[in-house]
Amino acid sequence: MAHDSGLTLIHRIARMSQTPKPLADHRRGWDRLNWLSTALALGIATLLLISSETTTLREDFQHRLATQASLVAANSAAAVVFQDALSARDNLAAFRHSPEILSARIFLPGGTLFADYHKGGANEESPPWARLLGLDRIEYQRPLRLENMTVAEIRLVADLEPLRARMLGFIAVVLGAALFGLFIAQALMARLRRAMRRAEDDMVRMAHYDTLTGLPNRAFFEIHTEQVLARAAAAGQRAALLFFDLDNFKVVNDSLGHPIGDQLLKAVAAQLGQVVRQSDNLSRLGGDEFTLLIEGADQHQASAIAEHVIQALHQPFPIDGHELSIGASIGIALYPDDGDSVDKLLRSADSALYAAKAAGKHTWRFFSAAMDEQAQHRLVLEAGLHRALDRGELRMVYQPIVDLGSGHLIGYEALMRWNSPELGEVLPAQFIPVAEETGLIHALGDFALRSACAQTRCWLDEGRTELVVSVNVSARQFYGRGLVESVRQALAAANLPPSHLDLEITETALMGAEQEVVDILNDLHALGVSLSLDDFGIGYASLSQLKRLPIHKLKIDRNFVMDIPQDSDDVAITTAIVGMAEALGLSVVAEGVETREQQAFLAALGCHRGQGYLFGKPEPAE
Amino acid sequence: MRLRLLRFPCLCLMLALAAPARAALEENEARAAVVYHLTLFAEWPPGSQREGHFNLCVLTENENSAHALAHLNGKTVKGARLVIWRKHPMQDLGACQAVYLSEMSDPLRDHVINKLAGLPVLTIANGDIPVPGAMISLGVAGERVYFDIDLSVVQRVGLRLDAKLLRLARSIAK
Repeated sequence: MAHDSGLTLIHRIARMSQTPKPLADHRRGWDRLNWLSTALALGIATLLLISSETTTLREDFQHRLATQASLVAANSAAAVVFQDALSARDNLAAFRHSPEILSARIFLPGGTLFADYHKGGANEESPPWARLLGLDRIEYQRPLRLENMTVAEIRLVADLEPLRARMLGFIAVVLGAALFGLFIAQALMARLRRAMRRAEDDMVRMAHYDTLTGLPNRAFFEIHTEQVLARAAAAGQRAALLFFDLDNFKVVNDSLGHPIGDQLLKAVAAQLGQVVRQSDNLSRLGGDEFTLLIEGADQHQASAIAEHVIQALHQPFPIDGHELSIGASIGIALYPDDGDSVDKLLRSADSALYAAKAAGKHTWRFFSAAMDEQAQHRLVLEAGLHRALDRGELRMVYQPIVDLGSGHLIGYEALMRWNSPELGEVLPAQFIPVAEETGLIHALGDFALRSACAQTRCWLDEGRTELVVSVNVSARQFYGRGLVESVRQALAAANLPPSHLDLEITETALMGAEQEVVDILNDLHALGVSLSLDDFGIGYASLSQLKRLPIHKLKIDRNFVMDIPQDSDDVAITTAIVGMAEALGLSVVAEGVETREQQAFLAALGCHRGQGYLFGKPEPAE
Repeated sequence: MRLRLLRFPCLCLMLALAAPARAALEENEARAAVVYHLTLFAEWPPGSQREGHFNLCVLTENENSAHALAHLNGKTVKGARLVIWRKHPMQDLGACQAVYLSEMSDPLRDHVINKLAGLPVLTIANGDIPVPGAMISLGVAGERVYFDIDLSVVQRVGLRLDAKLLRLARSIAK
């Protein structure tokens, strides 16, 4: 599987041509520049060498010329002063042994030519390039001196042919060396470039791919989606964006730790890699959020793929000895209907995802305009909730719980109310999920515990010593922070005996019933508080769990109570629950009791406690 | 008009008369120059040098020749100041490094040459053919002064002449 995802990654990189185009252009430009600079450096070095060698050779040549001239000059001075031109010419004729000397002449101080020598056939033209470089001929003159008097001047003209021959040889060698050097440098640079390219590719990959799953990351997703949308716009095509997250990932991460969470993400990515087509661009935006971008897909195809993904992720993932059931919720946004930009499309898909989650998870939803409003509303809620605690907008209300047989008050269920100046009265069903998602639930939970404990303390002080207050605990409160410590502190702060506090837990909190949750429940039980299972009957709590956990009470959901005694199914279920509770030694509280008839029926059934409008609505303690 | 007509022949005559005189003058100067240059190519045995001076003694009956040589005064010979002495054949010539025997009778010349025999004194004498006993004889052919060298005389008194000079000599007697 890992091998496959590796291959997929490679294909993906290859498919995108994949170093982005500007980078490839940049590289080509860089290569050319590299080559040019090396060639330039070698060229300059070659020129410097040649010019230095030319200077050296020229100086050498000139030196030899000077030596020859001084020899002849010394011999010719006598000839000059004794006016023996013939003898002087004989002296000059010695230059025939120096083939490079083209002419030699002796001039008397007045400028009169005294004697001269010309090499036979010395009129050969030097090559033009030699003339251009000043390598054609050289002139040299020196005075003939006798007794500190200049008696004549000797002037030589020499052909630089021997120097040219040596220079050509030297240039050939240097150029050969330079070309060889260039070749070596190119070979080395090519190796360096390959290494650099690999490093760059790694960087590109790191910048565009998620290291954990090997999937494209958000940056890549945004760039790529922009390209896809542009293509779709040009071709008049549609595209579908599936935005999904894993339903219980936070629970896994919080309860089993990040390493397990990471392994789960990898497994999910691998599983997704197997079920989606390679052309459907799968990305991980972060956390447990994934996107799938399908080019040219219509509503029907999009929903089919969404269904496919949900099915693929529905199966449990075996990670590190755990069988992790997660599942996914998917929000679908269509281009161009639900957004014509990456940003807008992603927001629409997010709203649809939220709707899918709200619809009970493990499902998908298309985006609709109404969702946008809901999403907006949710944002307002979230912003308001952040301030609500500080501004004292939250308060607790208490609904009586009575003994169904005697009708005596035995306790209250503490419920939270939020009266927002901007939004009015907000229902717990609206703001609690927001608090759960944002993590505010911990602060809210603390507030509820402390308020309820303080209030109960007041009632005890008023002499109502039989009262027990029930406080709802969210499943999220079991993870991350110290619920037990929180409870202990609330009790201590109010100086309330634990037996007067009852904690209501939903079945969701027990789902999977990991050892950590069980430990917390045992700790709470050890603390002396009682535990109730809320909304019993609608969830998945199993009998074995009930037996294993330190639960004291079951609360029958109002849905089963509402239609008794008329609805025979509800009567049957309620009867079964009460019977089972009795068998397990648990007490039962019926919720939503509204009529005397229901009270009588439940009491007769053996359900000892109840709450509902018949006994009182949730009211402030005062 | 007549006078004017006469002007050209007169001028020609004057030139014709002046030419030999000028030629004689140039010959003297040329001989003087050669004499000076000859001293530059000779080497005296150690100890025969005079401190700071080089004495060139001239014996001649020709005033022009003496005059031409006097012009050489003040030049240098191997770094030493050249001093030209006009001498009489009967005078002592022991202080001279070089003696130039210009125009004089043969007996007087022979007398001087004999007097100098064995001394490290460079003897230069005018003579179209080599002058017996003179180290260097100067002759004139056309416009050129040539010289003959008697190397045996030179070597006998320990003088040395530069090979370059020997190469230029018309003849060398050994």
